[in-house]
Amino acid sequence: MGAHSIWVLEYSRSPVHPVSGVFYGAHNQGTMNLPFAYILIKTGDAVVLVDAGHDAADFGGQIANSIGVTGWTPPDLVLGECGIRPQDVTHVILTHAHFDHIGGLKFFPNAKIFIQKKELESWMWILTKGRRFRSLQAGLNPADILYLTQANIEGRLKLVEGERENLVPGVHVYPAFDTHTAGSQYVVVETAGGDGKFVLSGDVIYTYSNLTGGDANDPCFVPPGLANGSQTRLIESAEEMLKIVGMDERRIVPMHEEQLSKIYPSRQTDRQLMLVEICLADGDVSRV
Amino acid sequence: MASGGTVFGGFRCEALVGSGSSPEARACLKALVRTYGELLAIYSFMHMALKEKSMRLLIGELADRATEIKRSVRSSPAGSPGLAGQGHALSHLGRADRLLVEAEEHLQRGVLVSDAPLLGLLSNAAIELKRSAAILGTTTFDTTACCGGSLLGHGEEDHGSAFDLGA
Repeated sequence: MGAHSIWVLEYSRSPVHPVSGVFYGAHNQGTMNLPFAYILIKTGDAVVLVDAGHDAADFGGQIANSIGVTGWTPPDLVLGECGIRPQDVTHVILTHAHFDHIGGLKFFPNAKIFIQKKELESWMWILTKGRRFRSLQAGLNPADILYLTQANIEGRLKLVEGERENLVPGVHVYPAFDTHTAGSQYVVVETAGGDGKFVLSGDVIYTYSNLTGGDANDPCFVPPGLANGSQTRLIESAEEMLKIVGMDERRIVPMHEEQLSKIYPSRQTDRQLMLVEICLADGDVSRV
Repeated sequence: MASGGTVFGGFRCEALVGSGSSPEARACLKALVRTYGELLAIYSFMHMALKEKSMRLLIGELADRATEIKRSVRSSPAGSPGLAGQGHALSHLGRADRLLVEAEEHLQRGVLVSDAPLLGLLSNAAIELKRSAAILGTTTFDTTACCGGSLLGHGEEDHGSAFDLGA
């Protein structure tokens, strides 16, 4: 037990995600089931979301449809499983600016928003380059940038430059530049009661097989296939995360990992979405 | 169809989609909507950069790209007779154009006395683009490059094979 409760909340899924998007070099390997999720952290008075999902009614929903994402469920229902309302969320930490991580920001009107400044600068640079560079624009929804601008005017947008420790007590963010995207970041939760650390990897690691190559006895890093940055940097960042958790892979929490529900206590909601309980704070009530 | 008009993506319009234009003209108009979407994204980032002094380095390059886009819009055949049947979509696009022109005037001043007018112009332009995109059955931003784009014209089949990740 410690000071933090952490839940992984599936809000949507793709039953037909190309394997090659998840594993670099896995050509002609068909499709796989891929959960889409965000992560809820409760500690003290803070209600922190790591990423915000997308809005099915917006352009992000069109991108989602185009890649076979189904079963989108609104945040009030998803968070309601943990007794949280969207307006209760105090902080949203964005691991990167792809539509399925940033597009749901509008549902959390009271939250401060934390994103690496480099992530936004990289999108600006891509847009200056013109149509020939449009493959780098994949996953961007211009309306999300408008929303960030509005949040900035309201004083809710916080641009992070590199590391930020104790963003809230025991919750740290670290950069993973030039990996999945140019300005990706990941989150470390340091529980106070001796549970150690958990790493919330964003899309720098999609699944445990990115850490092992599917062979626990002879592990091999296989980085995600979908990346604007470098495969080498993805592997370096994965190693960095492993070191933070003392090489205990199970303390890394990839939000697209379907096996989380087999490792941690979990249940399926009425809407057939997985709710995974990574850890519970002292005195908090289990939701699974 | 709902009574009193057609519902496109959650909003109601009183006119029907025109059917008198050629597929080529319609495709041209769809491309134009996405081009305006790119312009909207650029202006949104320029607005943000005006607020964040440390992000201003790229404003000039963004402005140059915006100029290129506007040049391409001027040379597009959007006003040609072939688009006569698309009047409804064109009217929304025309409104978006006017809003973006006004937004550009704010951006060119370089200093924002108040954020609200510019944000309002960009937000309304986004709404108009969304309307024209819904009428035409396209998106407000170019997704053709997403995950390989036209290079991969068909979806990945599920071969169901056990593959060696480390291979």
